[in-house]
Amino acid sequence: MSITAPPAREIILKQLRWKQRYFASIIFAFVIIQAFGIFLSVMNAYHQASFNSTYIRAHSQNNLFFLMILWIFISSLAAPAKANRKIDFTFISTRKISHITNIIFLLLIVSAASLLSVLSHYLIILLVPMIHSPEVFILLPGWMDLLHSFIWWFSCLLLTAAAGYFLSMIYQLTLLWKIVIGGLIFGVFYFDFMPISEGFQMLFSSDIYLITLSVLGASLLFFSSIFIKRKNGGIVI
Amino acid sequence: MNFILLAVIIGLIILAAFGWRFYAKRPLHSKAPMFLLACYTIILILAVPAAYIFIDESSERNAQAEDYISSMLMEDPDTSGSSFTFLFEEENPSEEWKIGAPYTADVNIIVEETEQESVRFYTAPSIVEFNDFSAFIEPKLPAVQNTDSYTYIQLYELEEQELRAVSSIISRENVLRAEMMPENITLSSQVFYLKVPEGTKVAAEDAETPVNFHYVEE
Repeated sequence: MSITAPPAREIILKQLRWKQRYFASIIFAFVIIQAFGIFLSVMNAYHQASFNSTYIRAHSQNNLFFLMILWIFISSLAAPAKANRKIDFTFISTRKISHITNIIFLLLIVSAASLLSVLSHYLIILLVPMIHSPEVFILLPGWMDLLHSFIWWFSCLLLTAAAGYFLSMIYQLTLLWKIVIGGLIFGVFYFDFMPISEGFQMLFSSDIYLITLSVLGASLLFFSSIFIKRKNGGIVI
Repeated sequence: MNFILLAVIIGLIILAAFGWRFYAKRPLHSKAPMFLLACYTIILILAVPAAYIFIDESSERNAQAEDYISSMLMEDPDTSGSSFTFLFEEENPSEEWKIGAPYTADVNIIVEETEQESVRFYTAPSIVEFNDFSAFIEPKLPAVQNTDSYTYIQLYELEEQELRAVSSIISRENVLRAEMMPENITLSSQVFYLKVPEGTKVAAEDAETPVNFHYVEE
């Protein structure tokens, strides 16, 4: 023990500043994927219908949404990887502090990504009339719509980030645990043990459900990830 | 308008290229993505006032279309998040519709899958474009088929669960008479026929509700 050991808060802040540069590729990928998602959303109609001779196309952010989910999932998988974790220990750090820094970093990028995704709605609104036919019907979102949209984006991205982080930690355990947990996940989806579609429907039925369940679920997954420790090839939770 | 867009895109690419080159020469290469992020954020922030300035939301066309779109992509309160999308197709569209006139077209009602709805509600409907707005404002009458003594409207691609949802809407809307209640909907190789008496006039009532066919006996 050293009497000159810096407080944990300072280490976390230093690591965060370092990660902001070290994970620049995540930020770069974010901008590129957002631009690509907006392009797809503008060019492709999510909903198409024809009424007699009338042809209707509805554009949405769905393309962007699926790309962003993929982005945050891969990013959160990479964040606690062994190679990245070793760099954390170049600072005076513990495993717990490394996890906390990673989680704070993920929370920051999820918040920023949610905010920018909400704003990208306006860019799509501007681009569609320029590219497609002049007969365009546009609904500008109100403040409540923006809040609603932000909650939705944030909840989905947060839950995905937590799931990715947890899976990445699980992957670093022994082979037995990989098989057991992989089998459980596969089994739930394959044999339909749980009413997954009903669960999703309930999750998205109201903002309160969505934000509550996503925050609780993400907290559970993040805390589980923190307290998973490797010990002689086994696991101690 | 397209030239403006093209100019804006080219300008942004040049700006990003210059920015990238500027930061790439510096010792900390990782600042380049942050510069890109900053540019992107500025563009998005500028898009917000631009949308409110350039988009005329209060136009009459917008107001008229809003009702239809909101009904087309509406959330049904009775089926906890179900959404109904209507796709009307006609092989031989006609401006004049007469009672008993032979029609070869069908009215297709496609009920979207539940899993997709939750995603769709928050991202759509934002923008909808039409190729012929005038036809849209005055919806044409849906087509019917005359077979024997009954007129059938085909409701395609409905599963059992979805049929119940449609039935609930039909009941709720209360636009059908007793002989046209949901029990008269029959299943035949995934094609549902809504049986109505011969000579029944089938008309699109208005654009307020999804299943809003108005039945009037001769």
